[in-house]
Amino acid sequence: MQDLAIETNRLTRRYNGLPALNRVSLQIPSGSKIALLGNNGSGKTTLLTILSTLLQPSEGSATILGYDVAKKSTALRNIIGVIQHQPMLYENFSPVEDLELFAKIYRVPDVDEQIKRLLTSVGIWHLRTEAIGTFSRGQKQRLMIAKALLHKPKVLLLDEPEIGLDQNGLRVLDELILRCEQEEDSTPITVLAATHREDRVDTWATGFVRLEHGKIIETTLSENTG
Amino acid sequence: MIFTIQLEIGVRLLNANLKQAWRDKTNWMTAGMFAITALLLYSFAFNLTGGLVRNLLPGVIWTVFLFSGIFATAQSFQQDRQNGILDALKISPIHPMTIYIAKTLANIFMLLLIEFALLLGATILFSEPLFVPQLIIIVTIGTIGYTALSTLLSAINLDRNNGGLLLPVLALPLLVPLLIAAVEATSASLQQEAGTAPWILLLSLFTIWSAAIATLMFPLAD
Repeated sequence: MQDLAIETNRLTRRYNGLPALNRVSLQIPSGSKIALLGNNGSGKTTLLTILSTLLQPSEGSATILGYDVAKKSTALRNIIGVIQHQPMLYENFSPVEDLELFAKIYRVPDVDEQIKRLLTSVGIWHLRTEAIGTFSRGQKQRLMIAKALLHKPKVLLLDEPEIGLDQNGLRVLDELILRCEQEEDSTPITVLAATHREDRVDTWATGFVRLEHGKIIETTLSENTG
Repeated sequence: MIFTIQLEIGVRLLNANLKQAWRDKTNWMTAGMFAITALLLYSFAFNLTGGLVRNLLPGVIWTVFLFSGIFATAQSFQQDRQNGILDALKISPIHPMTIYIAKTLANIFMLLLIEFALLLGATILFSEPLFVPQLIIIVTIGTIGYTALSTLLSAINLDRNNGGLLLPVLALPLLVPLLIAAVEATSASLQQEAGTAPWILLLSLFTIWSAAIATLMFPLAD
């Protein structure tokens, strides 16, 4: 049996008694690149937020590479890379200052070299000393892509990573998501990305999960309906 | 090993918080301007001299310190929440207590700068030597105590869209014992009484209690 990167078991999250996520059971094999589809309010962001350890489930459980997300262990946080709806950036820092701080937090080796490589690959090396607050949404999103990849995570949890990106930015995103597998020598990188751009899913995804009203209604993955 | 790593990360984060506060001066400018205005108003309104000044100054000083401190710390985590930085830190391998301690230390550092400048200003306005070692120690201990609590409360206050208005309501009752000890210690110091030590001890105990409780509570705050 193939190793599982992400596994959820009857995962439920309620807000004021109403389920935003309703008994979602999923098994995502290691190395998969899965598109999370669904309308607004279908539970995509809630699922990603729980997997990112930022939200506790009301019921059920979820593991990433065997680590229980509810325990928020340091080991788990070292292996996930996250892009949320909103940029997670110091507005009055430069990209280099922001990435340097997080490189130290994640204890990334060869910080300068790594930052230069990432900023170059997302196409904003020339903006490295500018204040992030002056960036366009697309430039911030490119920086977020670099930041999510900074510590070479094993699992990427992306919430609408295409936001603000132009055609060139979308190409960079596709390349980095597709290329990241080749750069890693051991464990293949798993990607779970919520998106509304269904027209682009074929360019990068190996499978999809479709949510509606907090439930899985369609998937190409094995699913436990229990 | 874990402690050393968190200490190293904490120092980096403290540095980032100070850099952020220095570049975005909104909170500190507001606090500083309030403190200067209040001090000037007090000096003109009371026209204090001699023995009278020593009776009233402790109350004047700590009222100004407290409210400028609340102005400065009320939005401590607000900007980090709006930028998504708080989430970025929470999903990183940094311990929540390290996030809290780094933010509190940055607040303490900035507030002490304002307070020491105020002590110098008050020395001139009230013709009373206020920038003296004993008073500096009292102010430092008191500031650590109330900043520890108000920084925690600003985190608790984050998801209640009231722009920090709830903070004074939450903070003031909790700070009363600490403020009484601070005022009494300051008063004893200004009157040059022999009984300063018990009040400084009490102030230190409240400060240790505030800092310990706030540090332990922060991981549960959000």
